[in-house]
Amino acid sequence: MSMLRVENLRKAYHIGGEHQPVFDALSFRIGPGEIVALLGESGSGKTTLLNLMSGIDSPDAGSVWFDGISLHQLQEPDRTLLRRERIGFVFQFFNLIPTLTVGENVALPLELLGRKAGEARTHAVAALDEVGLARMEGRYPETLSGGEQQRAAIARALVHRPGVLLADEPTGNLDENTGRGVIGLLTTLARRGGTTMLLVTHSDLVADAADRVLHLRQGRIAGS
Amino acid sequence: MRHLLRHRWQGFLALTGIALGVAVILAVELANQASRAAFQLAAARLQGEATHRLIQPGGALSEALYVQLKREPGCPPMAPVVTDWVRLSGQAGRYRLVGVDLFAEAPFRGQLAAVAQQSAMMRDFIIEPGALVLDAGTAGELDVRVGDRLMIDYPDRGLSLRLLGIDSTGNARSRDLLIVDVATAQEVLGMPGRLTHIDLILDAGDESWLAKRLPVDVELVTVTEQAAGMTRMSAAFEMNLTAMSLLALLVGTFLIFNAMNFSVLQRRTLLGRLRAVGLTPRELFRLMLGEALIIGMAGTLAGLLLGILLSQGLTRLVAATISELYYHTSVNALHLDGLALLKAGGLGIAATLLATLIPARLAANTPPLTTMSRVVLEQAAHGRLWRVSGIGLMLLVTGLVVALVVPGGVITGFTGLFLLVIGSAMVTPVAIHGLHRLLVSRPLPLLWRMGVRDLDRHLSRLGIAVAALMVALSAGVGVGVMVDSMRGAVNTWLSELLTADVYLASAAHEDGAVLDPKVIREVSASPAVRAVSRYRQGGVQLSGRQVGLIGAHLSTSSRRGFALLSGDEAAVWEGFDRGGLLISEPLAYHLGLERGDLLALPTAAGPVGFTVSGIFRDYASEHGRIFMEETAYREHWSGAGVSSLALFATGGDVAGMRRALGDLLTGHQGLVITSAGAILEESMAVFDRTFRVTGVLRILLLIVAFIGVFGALMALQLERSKEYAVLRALGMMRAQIAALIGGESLVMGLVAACIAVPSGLLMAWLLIESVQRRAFGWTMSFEVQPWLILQVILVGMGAAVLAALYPAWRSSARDPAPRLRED
Repeated sequence: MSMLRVENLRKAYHIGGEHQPVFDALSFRIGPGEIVALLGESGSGKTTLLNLMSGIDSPDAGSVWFDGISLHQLQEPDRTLLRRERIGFVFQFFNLIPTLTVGENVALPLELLGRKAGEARTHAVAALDEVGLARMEGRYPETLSGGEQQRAAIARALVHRPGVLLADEPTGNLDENTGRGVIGLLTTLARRGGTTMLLVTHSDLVADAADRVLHLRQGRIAGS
Repeated sequence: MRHLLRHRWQGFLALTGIALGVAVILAVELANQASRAAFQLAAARLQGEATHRLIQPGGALSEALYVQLKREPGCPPMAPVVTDWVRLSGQAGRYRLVGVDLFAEAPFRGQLAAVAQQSAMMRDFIIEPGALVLDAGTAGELDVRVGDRLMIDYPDRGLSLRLLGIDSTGNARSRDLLIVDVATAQEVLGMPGRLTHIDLILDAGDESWLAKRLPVDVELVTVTEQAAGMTRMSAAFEMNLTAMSLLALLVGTFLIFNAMNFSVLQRRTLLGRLRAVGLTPRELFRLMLGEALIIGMAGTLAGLLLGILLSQGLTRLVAATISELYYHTSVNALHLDGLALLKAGGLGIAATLLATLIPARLAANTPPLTTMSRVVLEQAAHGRLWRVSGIGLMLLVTGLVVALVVPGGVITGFTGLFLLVIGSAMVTPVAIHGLHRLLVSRPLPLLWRMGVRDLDRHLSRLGIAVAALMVALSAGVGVGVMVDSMRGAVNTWLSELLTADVYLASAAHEDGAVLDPKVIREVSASPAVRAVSRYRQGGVQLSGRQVGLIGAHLSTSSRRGFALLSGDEAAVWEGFDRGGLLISEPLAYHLGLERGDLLALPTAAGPVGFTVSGIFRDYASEHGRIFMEETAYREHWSGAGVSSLALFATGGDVAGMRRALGDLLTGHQGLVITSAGAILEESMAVFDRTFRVTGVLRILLLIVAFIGVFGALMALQLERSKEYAVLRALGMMRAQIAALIGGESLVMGLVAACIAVPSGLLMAWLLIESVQRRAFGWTMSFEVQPWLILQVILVGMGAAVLAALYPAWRSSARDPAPRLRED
């Protein structure tokens, strides 16, 4: 039984009239609760793969199975709902919404799920406490350091207890020490919640924290 | 430049902003000039080379005077003219009939004389009664050919004119004129042996030569004095256009400012990088200004072309209104005025540079890293917010003081109005901030909370667009309330003034036709008629104004209709009966007259002083009207007949009186019996037609502001595309993204409308209390229709939501994947 299954995935970009393949018959599986690191050089298509696995982007061919559901056979609103309910995202550039406070950013997934603002806020405060940002819920993102912003992003990604966490270069914009702390926090929380995690990185140091490592080279999984 | 070329939407929005701003300024200016030109052209056509004119105040000159003067040795060049407005059967509007003496015309209106000489047999023109010459344009409009007949719609003296020739030389001086011989004009207009005026070309010394030979009741005036009276006829009409032109200028400038401000703010990262790689603040500043100059020139050029196109539509509308209200006119929309082009073009480039100046200085003077930060920019914008609002508030108060307290003319009134509008616009952004402060801690739904926050966080970008929308809406309220107030005042005034049951007049009374004395006698003696008021219509020139002078026998009921502004009513009427004057409010205002003052009027025996016995409210003429008791009037101006009668039914039996009048007047042609209600209805219809152009300009302003909001939202959506992509990744539906953008825009519209209502009411107050008062001497009560206010709020919100439709659709439909990859 796999939580995430990628089968014969193909994707190419057309830039300036030129056909540039990103993946060619890409296939792999990730089991429930497994933490997998996807290693690859810059431009190897790691972020594109995450977008395809979350239903944000569409493949040219092949399929992504999410807990037995073929993601790209769903209509766009259903894919959005699935993403809202069952996927958490951590981005390289944190991507906190600047117009919302840190607490509101973390509460956002819960509010999108229809929880009352007060209840969502209580959960958000608890999630921030878990990532070491207690009493920071009233501050705006720009007043936090990079590491603090990424912790807030982790709290936002996990606050609604998603089945899958997709992390795109979560330490790419942080110094080594801070990055190590962030990876430790991510894996600890994912393991504690039994969350399946795909961690996209180009850093061996980050990959060491995973249960399994996949190497993406020239559009294919080269080994694990 | 490469940035704007690569980001075409941003480049397009900046160019569109500038182009639209310039286009509106130019279009309104050209339409304004077209209306002015139409009136001036009408005056200039007949003026020719004449320097002076002989007239008889309150009447027509004797032809014998012309003959006598011509026989005198040393006589300066002079030409007799018989002219008036006439209606042609089956044609709308009025045309000017001009009777000229071809033998005397050459030094005065050589081209006009040549038209008749070239187009027709000169002999036929002089000898054949009813021979007419038209220019090709007018002939085409009237659909007539040589030999066709045109019926003059002039009761009792109906006459047909035969088209003898068509002038196809394209001579502007003959446009819209019906050129006939003096004798034909005298016959058509019922002025045998009389002349409207005699034109003169006088050199030094000629004036004294003439003075010795002129009868006392003939006045020598310069043609500029006469022309001034004529061009002032359009003053009320023109003032409306001027007010709208100023507002268009302001909204256009806001639009340009908004576009350029955006263009600089959006490139803060690029600018920061340039500073980081070693560009000095001065170099960066110059670079940005240079780029702004190129964009400004391109946008201005496009705006000038667009403005010319737009002005054609507006000018046609203005010409149609003048034709309906005053007389037939053909205004050439393509007559481009260099000064107007220069003004609009200069404003376009200046506003572009000015709009770039502030953000460019801000970006150039901050350290490289902070130049990149949006937060710093917004913080700086918030820091300036209170200062800008403070200045705005000061300007607003200064505007009120200038308009209401500082003495001066219309210019002072407009200056105050302008300061008020700029001040209100500068206060607008702080209202968004205030709304945010008010709502920030409220338990609003997620999307509303985000929307209100977004507005405050993007104040530097959205504030100007909201201010532009506010100005447009404010103009809607201001001008709307002014028009409503004026309409209400005119309606009340007319309803009170028209006390009679019916009015009897010649169908051509507007063109000077008078009632047959026999008709007056019979009607007055009818037992069905309880009381009669008689009106003799004349006019005098006072301080360059053509003032209406009415000799009236007023019944007690008619007297009740006068809204007297000062003095005891009984004393006023006692003074009137003793030969005193009742003068209208505009005349009293312009001449600084009060009750008891003496006013000298030109009479047949020279200037005679009359006591002002009362001042009454009057909107009939901005130049003023004077009422004088009929007996006193006839003592000084014997020529004028009775133009109209106001009749009161015996025992209130109006139907009975109408039947009796029908019987009495059988066989009398060209008489019109009108009820007060019908006159009121027709007058209000004329009023509404006058302000139709204003309505169109209000819509135009709103469209410009709408595009401003659209541009601001589009630019903002481009900037926030990454943010929307993140929200989509977190599970926000497309519809929710669209609702977020639509909601933000709705709040923008609401804020603009909420400021526009008080600002517009203040604007209306100044227009009524200062501008109208200074221009026309009119006072009126302030009338606010609740529907107008509601309409403005709904229009503001509707325009804002409409402006958000495309940006909302575009943002929600965009693929989030590429945006998520961006830094």
